[in-house]
Amino acid sequence: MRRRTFVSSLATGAVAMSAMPATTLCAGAEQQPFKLKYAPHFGMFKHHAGEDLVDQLEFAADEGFTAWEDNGMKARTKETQEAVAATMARRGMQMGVFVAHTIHWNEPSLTSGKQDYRDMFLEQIQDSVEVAKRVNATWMTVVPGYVDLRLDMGYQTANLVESLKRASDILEPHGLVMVLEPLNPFNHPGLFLKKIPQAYAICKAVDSPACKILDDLYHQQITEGNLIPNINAAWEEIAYFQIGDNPGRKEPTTGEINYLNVFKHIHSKGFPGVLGMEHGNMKPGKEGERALIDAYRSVDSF
Amino acid sequence: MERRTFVKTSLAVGGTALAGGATMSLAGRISPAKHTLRGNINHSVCKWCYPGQSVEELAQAGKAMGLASVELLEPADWPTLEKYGLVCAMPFGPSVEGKDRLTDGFNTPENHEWLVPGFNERIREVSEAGYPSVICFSGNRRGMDDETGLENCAKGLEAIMPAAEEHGVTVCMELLNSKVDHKDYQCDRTQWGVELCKRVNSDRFKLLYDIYHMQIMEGDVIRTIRTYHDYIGHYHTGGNPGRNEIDDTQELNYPAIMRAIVETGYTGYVGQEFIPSRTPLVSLSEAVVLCDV
Repeated sequence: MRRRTFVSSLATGAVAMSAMPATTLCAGAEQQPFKLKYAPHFGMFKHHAGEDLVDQLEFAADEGFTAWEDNGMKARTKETQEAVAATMARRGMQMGVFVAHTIHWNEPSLTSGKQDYRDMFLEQIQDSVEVAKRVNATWMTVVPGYVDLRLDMGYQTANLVESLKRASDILEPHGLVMVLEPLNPFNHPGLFLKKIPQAYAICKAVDSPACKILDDLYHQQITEGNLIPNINAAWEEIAYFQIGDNPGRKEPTTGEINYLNVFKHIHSKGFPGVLGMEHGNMKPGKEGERALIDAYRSVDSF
Repeated sequence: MERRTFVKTSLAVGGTALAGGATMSLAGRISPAKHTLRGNINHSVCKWCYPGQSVEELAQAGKAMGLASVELLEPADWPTLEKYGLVCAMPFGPSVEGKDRLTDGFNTPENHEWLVPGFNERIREVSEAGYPSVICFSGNRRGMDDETGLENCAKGLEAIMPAAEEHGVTVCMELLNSKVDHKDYQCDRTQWGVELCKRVNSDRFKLLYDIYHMQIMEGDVIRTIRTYHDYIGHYHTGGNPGRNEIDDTQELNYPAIMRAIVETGYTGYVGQEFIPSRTPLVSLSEAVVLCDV
């Protein structure tokens, strides 16, 4: 929207107008929904909307956001979960991921094949079903955890696949999906799942609609680059995206990824899902929040 | 924010083209960019991406849009550049019949027989022309492991470092992708190239960091540049995927990358090495403006 307004003003020679944010032109009015379902996090707009979760959702909806993401949703009270879900239903917002299980950052868990870790994981997946239903979520994040240096990669993969198959048995009847998230080894050295092709192979082995890929573009730009070709190659297993520019893990336009074109590409493929804004704000305070929203408007203007 | 500025500037260039219509010469269409250049980046272009233009035509048009260099040229073309006050920031190295200088490189000891005398001569020519660098390649692996490739390359390069140091010419080995364009090429990872630089241990051997190729192989462009810029002597561009224009039709934010390069204190050249999919010289002028941070 904004890009187009801007371009046409340029064409008529009104170059000076270009710096004026669209939000100033229509202050107070509800913004057009974004073309893709970008999902902010709690806290991202607290300088505008305050600490209250419902107020933050209302603010985001007014700004045109049509989804939300809350990694820590499982730990919130039932009352809070219900209040968030009710607000989102009223505002027509879609819920993104929450983290489904305890992530083992420093010790082998699902890769080791040990029964106690598998039982704990499956119990947590079972608990997540109830939470997902309460907050109208379809997707939940799974991070397979640390490598087991005692085992060859082949055995670790087989151990993980077995746990994921059992988890799929739990989720599939409910139409729920766990999304496997590869993380970058620069920030998270030692984790098992790093690359999109690796996640793709695991999803193919699990062979269930309940087991898909979360492609976090920030992590993947660090780990392997080549974002669009990797998206294309793994497309049928990717159910969810997360966003963050590199370096810095802040909003689009603050780093080396041309999100305008990446989003255009994802949109052109008819992606129906959510893209979680799992990143910080580049600048502090109200000004930073406004800059972040402006940045999303600019990269959504394809 | 930066992107907006870019759109403004590049549209100003494109806008002139529209306003001028068919009656305006190409030089007229691209020259406005010249007045916007900030001087933080020395702009260069790779000739091979412009098969429709002669060296002379590219030099003339490049001069008009503020380029300082046309690169990847043989000595025979250098006098043409001189006419326009341009340099060849990255000339070709030597070649011999029956060998491909990209796939037959320093990683194979037999090649040293022609590479070492050839480079010693080319380094002298480059120095006499007053140019800063010359390009070289690792060659393809053909089953060779990383360590053997490093040892072989270091041995060959050490043999030409005395000439490079004497004449003040930096030999730059290009990092290329080995997945899409140059399957089996050995110098396809920054880490490997940096290790080679450490072994050669001369300020006159560095890497040519090709942003397009390394986005295919590695990603993490800005952090890599910040970490290893001491080992980088030259940069190339290109849009990924497709190796076409470096604007909003591909996945990298080139102005941010250029700012990171400038912040490292880089004083060398940035060579545009994308294959234009639209009007070639207009695409080139837009890329120059885009990279002029």
